[in-house]
Amino acid sequence: MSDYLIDLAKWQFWMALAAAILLVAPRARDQHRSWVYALLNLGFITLLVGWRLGAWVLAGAGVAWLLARAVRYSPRRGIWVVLAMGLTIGVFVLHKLPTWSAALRLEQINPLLRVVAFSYIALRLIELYRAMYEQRYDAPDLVSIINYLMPFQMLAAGPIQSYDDFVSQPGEPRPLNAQVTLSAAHRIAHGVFKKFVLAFAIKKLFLTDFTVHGFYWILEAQMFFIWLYLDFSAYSDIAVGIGRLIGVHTPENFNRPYFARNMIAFWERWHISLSLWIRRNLFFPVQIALLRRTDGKKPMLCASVGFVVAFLLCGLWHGIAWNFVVWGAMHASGLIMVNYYRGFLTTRLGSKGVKAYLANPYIKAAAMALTFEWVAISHLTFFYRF
Amino acid sequence: MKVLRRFLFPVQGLSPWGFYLRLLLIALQLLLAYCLAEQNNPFFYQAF
Repeated sequence: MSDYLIDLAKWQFWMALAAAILLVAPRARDQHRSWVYALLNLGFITLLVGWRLGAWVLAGAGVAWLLARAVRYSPRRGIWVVLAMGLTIGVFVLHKLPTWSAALRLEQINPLLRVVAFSYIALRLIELYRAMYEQRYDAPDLVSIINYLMPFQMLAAGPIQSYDDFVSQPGEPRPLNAQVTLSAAHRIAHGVFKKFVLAFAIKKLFLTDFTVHGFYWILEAQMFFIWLYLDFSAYSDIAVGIGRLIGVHTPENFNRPYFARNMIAFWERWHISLSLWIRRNLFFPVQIALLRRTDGKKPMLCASVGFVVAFLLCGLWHGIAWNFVVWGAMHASGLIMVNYYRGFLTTRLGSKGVKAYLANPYIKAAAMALTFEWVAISHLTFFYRF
Repeated sequence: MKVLRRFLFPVQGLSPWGFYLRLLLIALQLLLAYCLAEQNNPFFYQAF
C-alpha cells in the first residue's frame, strides 16, 4: 500500500478533524461556512500529497465544475454529458489499471487517484452529471463541487453521498449542543475502537491472507467477513460522527448486516450508500427500460437482467479483473435466487403461509446463516486472481 | 447552586450517571485504540 493512503494512525486526519471542529462547527450561521469547509477539504488533501498534486486536485475540481455547467446549460447537453461521463470512466479505468496509465506515460496521477479514492469520487461525479443532465438542480459553484466530491471525512472509503442528499442539506445546520457533541464523540470513539482494537485483534489472531488449507481455511473465511465488517463500518462510524460534529450530513452505511435473512435484505444493510447508488443508477434504469420493452409481461426476467448488469458493474467497480466479475456474478445470482424463491413460496404457500414461514425462528436462523455463508464465500474472490 | 446543578446534570435528557459512564467509555475506547494503533493499517475498502 502506498504511504499516500489516508491513515488514521497518522496526524493529518486528526489535525483536519481538529481544524473542522474549530473552524467549521462554530460557523453554523456563517455564510462563509462552505468556503471554510472547502478550504479544509483541499488543505487535507494537500497535506497528504503536497502542493503540486494538491493544485492538480483543484484543477480537477475546476474541470468537473465546468463540465457540470456545460451539461446543465449547454444546448448540446447530450454531447457534454457523454464527454463528462466518458472522461470520468476513462480516469477511473486509469486508476484501476496502473499498467494502462504507465503505457500512456500518466503514471504520476496514480498515487493522487489513490489518495483521493477516485473510485468513490467517480460515483459521485456520475450522480452529479446525471442530476445536471436531467436538469433537477442548478449547476453548483466550485465550492459546492469540492465539498460534494471530496469531503475529508468521507474521502477514504465513503459513504457515497447522493447528489440529492447533498443538495437537500439545510444551509444552516442544527447548532451543536452537548447532546449532539456527546453522541458524535461516542460514534467516533466507537469507530476508532472497532478499527484499532476489535478488527486489529481479529486480524492478528485469525487472518493469514488465506495461506492455510483445510478446516482453518473455512474458519478464516468466516473471520474475514467479521473483520471486514468491523474494519469497514469503523470508517463509516468515524465519518458519521465527524459529520454530526461539524453539521455536514453523512449518510449511514451499515445496519446490522449479519441479521439479513437473504441477499436482498443484505444489500439493504451492507454498504448502503453503494447499494442505493447501484439501485438509482444501474438497476432501476435497466429494469424500467426492459419492462417498457416487454410491456411488463416478464417482471422477474427484467429484474434478473437488472441484477446481473448492476452487480457485474459493481464487481468491476471493485477492480477490473475476473475475480471481481465472479464476485458480482455471485451476488447477482444470490439476488436472483431470492427473487424466484419468493415467487415460488407465494404460489406454493399463499400469502398466509409465507407469513408463517417467515415467522418461523428456525427458518429465520437458517436463512441468516445461509446469507452469511454466501457473502463470506463471495469475499474469497478478493484473494484469488484468475 | 446553579453551577453545581449544571455540573451534575450536564446533558438534558440523560442521567448524570449515564453521561459520566458514556464519557468514561469514550475515554477508555480512545485509550485502548491509542495503545494498539499501528501505522500503515489502512481500511480494506480504501484499496478499491
